[in-house]
Amino acid sequence: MSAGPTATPAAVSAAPAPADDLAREPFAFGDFSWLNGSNRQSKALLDTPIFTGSLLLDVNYSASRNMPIDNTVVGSTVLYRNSELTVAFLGFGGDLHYEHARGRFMTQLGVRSTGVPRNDFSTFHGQYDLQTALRYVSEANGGYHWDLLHGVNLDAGIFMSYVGLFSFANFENWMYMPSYTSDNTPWFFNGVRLQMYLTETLKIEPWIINGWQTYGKFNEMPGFGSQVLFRPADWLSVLSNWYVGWDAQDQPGLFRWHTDTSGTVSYYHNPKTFITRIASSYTIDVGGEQGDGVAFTGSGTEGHCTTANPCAARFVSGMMYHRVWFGDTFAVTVGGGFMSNPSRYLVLPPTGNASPVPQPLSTQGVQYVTASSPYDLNPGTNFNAWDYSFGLQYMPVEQFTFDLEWNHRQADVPYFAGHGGVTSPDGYITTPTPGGWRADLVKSDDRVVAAWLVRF
Amino acid sequence: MNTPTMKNPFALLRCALVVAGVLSAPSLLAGCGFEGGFNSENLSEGSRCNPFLSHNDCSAGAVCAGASPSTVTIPFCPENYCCSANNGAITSTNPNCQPGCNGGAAAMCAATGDPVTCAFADSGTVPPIDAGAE
Repeated sequence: MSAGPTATPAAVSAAPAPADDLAREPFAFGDFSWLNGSNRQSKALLDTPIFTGSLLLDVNYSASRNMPIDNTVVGSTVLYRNSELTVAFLGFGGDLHYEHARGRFMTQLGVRSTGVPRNDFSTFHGQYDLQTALRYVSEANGGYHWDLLHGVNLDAGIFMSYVGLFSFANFENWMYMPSYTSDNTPWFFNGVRLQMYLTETLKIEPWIINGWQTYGKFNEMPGFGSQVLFRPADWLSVLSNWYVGWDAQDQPGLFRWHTDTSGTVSYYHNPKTFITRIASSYTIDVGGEQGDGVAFTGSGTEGHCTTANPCAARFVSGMMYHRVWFGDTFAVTVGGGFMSNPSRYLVLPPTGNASPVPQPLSTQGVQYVTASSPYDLNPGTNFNAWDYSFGLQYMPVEQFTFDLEWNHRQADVPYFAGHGGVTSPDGYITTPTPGGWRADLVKSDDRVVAAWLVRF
Repeated sequence: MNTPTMKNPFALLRCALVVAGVLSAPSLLAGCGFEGGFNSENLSEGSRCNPFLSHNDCSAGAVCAGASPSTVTIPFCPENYCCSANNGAITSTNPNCQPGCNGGAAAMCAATGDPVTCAFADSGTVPPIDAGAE
């Protein structure tokens, strides 16, 4: 939602800065609009002295060769419905800035308002239905700006995460459907962040948060993490995140750690040639869970995970994308990645009758019916997957992108929605399922994706 | 934004090539294995099918068999699969078309606890017709 993983102090300060200060604004020395996960727009159209408005519209159509009869997609945070035109995200909001006070909010309407919160198991801890309370908000944070160093901001609330490089706002991304490294890592955090722009090329941003993309908290301890963003030249960006938290129900001795590092390099740029820019991004994530019967490495088997003989619980993934621009209007991208996640603690749980967690809104209405074939997310399970994709983006103006891409995903265990779907024999939630009816999960998914992305 | 003009031959060439690329996208997708995809009809043997449809979505010679409302049943099977059949009797050798439909009996046993189903799930042997009557 914000302009990439940076929200520069100048963008939130109402007082006009002297020319010298503007020159020292972090990351302002170069053009970084080419970066994956950054806004390519050169100016905000809805700008006033105290409020900079923004509107995001994300509409997609995707079709899988599996053609699930319930029109349901499994395993994505950007696609939820198959063979349907889907309003995935409608967000309106913006930045408030007056003197040193700052605030930002962005709504979350569209299918992402049900699809994203459903992955947060912390909302089943206690009462007041945090999923409903917060599902229509993608960003809500505010705080204070100090003119220290090259800018210091302290914000509290829900803010975007850039773990996994891609932006939650698909308008900012090279591809619409990201690889697992981005899809299976957090889009947002709920907590407090301190943005410190130490130099014009370096930001360090520590967080204290409720958990790993959670509205609530699983155990007594909060989560801790930080982002380091280093852009020494206008052709290079290095983004690194780390996280430590206690994110497992009834297992306060189990902690999760995660590292995420991306490098994006523009190694060719010439506005006067047929190909105007070539860039690539490389991301590696390594993490694990430790304690209460799991460890980064372990030989335990499902159902027999003990402290003495723990089961392996780790996340190792990578992704790489290559993009070529033909002027400002067209770009093509090819890329892919992999993930290995024994104990499946970052696997996006399938939905419907394959859902391992309660989902009143996606099974039988408000009357929850236990899933007939819940996906196994227990310690000791295995999950390995890979994907590749290629696509074209048409960007005739700064406010619009048309995206067309092909995506192939593959897993070593049944996971993606097959033709039988995950809902019922005919795909409708109103049709009873026979006792023992199994959701149709398959090992691969080939699909074409088209997306209309508008941003003001 | 670059505007294609005669003064900028690269821009013209870019536009022409990209338009050609977009127009050829269907061929590209077909080449990637999409040919024959996006089809919920003429489903192959052993594929999941929809028993509630007003027509048969299975390929010629196959019927949507399995649980109710299919008229051709697969014993101890909670789902529905396309299976070759002759006069209401399944002739297919596909594992999904056999009694228990490739794990379906175990799923039914776990869900219902029915002793006859569980006995079949354990033994793989279709019990006599009167089994479980006691």
